[in-house]
Amino acid sequence: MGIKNNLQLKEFVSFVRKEFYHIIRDRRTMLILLVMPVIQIILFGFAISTEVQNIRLAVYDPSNDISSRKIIDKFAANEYFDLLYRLESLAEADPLFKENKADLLLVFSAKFNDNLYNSGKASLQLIADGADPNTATIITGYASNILAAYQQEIIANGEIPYQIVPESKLLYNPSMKSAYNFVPGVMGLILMLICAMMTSISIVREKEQGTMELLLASPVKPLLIILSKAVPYLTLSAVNLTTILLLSIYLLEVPVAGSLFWLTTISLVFILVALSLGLLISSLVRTQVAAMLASGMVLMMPVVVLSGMVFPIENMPLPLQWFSTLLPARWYIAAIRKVMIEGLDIAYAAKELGILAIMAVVLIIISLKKFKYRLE
Amino acid sequence: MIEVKNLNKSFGDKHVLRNISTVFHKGQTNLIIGRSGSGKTVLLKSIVGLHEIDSGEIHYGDVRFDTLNLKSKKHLRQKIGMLFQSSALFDFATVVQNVMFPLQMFTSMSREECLDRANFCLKRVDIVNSNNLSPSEISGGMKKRVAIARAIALNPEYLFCDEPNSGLDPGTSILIDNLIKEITEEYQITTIVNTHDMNSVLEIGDNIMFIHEGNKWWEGNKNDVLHSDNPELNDFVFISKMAQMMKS
Ligand SMILES: Nc1ncnc2c1ncn2[C@@H]1O[C@H](COP(=O)(O)OP(=O)(O)OP(=O)(O)O)[C@@H](O)[C@H]1O
Ligand SMILES: [Mg+2]
Repeated sequence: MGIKNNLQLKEFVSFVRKEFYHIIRDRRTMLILLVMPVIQIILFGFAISTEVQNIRLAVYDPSNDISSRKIIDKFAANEYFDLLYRLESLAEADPLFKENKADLLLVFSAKFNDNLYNSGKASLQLIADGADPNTATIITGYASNILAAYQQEIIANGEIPYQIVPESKLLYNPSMKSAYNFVPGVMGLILMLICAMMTSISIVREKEQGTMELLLASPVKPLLIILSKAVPYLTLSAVNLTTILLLSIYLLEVPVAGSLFWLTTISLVFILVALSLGLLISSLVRTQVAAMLASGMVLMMPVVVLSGMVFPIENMPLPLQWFSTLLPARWYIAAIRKVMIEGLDIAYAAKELGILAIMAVVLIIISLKKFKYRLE
Repeated sequence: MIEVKNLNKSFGDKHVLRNISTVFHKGQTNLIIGRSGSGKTVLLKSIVGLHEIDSGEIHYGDVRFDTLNLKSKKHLRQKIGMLFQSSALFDFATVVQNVMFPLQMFTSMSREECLDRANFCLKRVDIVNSNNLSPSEISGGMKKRVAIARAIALNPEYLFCDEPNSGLDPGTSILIDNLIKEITEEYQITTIVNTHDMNSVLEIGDNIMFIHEGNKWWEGNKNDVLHSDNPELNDFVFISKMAQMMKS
């Protein structure tokens, strides 16, 4: 029995070694795989840091009372906003936007303070130039955060039980604020790419070359073939995960606010999902090109567009929102955001982790079934 | 010896192999011939277990293969060598690594022993001084020979070759054919070769089965094949025989 187990272990080790050879020999691909996360993080980092600074602010405050002035002071003190204009009438706003002299206009209602303390609802409009919806979204997101902070403050002081309702003219997304948003997205993207795309390509490549049949007709257990395919990409993913985290901490200054253990666990479950997706794709297509297109089109595009990485999910049409619930990356990104960025306890990401775990189990079962060792 | 009884195989409603029964003999090169699409590859893959058969029996010696569990299949597969149409060498590994691979995987031999055995097999197929080349750096004929070396590395009792000389010039084809025949006789292997090359048929056909549209249509050896009264077989043979006649 012992000897037999030894032999099996030996088989497994030689197999894994074969897969590593496979990757290492193809230097260019390996380089791309290792450098890609670095480039993505840096690119996103740049894109973000140029977008959000020096927001030119205009204010129209007909009530000019204690609350509205306090809020305006908050904006003036914020490093991202430059308070440039105090308007006498709303008519002045139009030319400012037309000549691109302002990015955001804050419009207080009349009797802001009175409304706030008496009727409980004071209205405030945020108007941004919609020509660049992304920037506009980010700007209004910032402004809303400032307002929310102010509100927290007055509630904490026990002053009012009431709400300021910021009514933004553009879409409002509180999480769309900075690099904080992209790091989980890049993690999801890279892990998906490496595990799903590379696994499927590498299996299909063996199919194309005929070596897969050779292996399947050999005494090797099919499960072993699959596992040995997974190990190198798992390793590569671990390296990339580390790179991304280090870059995010030291370059983007996005710290890991929560538990590293749970961050890793969630990532592992997500990697399992991606690996089995790769396996599934490999049993559905016959050529490497098809494998690449399938993983590119079916996995990457939706991840970028629909997972909340670039465009906020809340802003999507409902059918797309429903569709996005099918994407593992959506749940992964949401969970990582909570655990890593917001530093929340794992309990808050339990739903996401649960969904990912269920997806992993279901996909593993389906893909193993599909990967029949007879190549029909 | 391998015996196939009443083997049927279909894909969906496409009935590819119809009730095939035959015996492949030990120490002989057993040929399966037939037109493209007649079902040769499917038959070979069914025999090795790469396709699940609909009905019928496959016996390796005294062992019934098609009903074996995975564990016993594994044991039997140690005794099978395979040579595919595409050579199927691992492109990330060198020539000698390719031949060593099955040895390192399935035996408890040390590295040196594996290397010795690999060198012996490579020498047997006349590949010398090419150990450290990669498969992309050698010719098609050499690839076939390396694949044969890998297939015989584990001292197989059974050897399956799917069109071993596709893509090779006639001279090299004959070399490969003869190599397969020699090895078969030398090590008393039960060898099955798929081919539609009449040269091979006349050269090494100890035992020939002609498949027509998934049916066993004719059976015999290289001496009978030119003198049958089977019209489909004659169609198949004569197209190629024209070249033969012109040559002589
Ligand atoms: N995996 C499969 N799924 C469905 N049909 C298949 C499959 N493999 C083979 N076939 C069909 O079975 C038939 C026989 O194919 P096979 O590959 O055995 O032909 P062949 O005799 O080997 O031809 P060639 O000399 O060109 O290699 C063909 O019609 C083919 O389309
Ligand atoms: Mg064929």
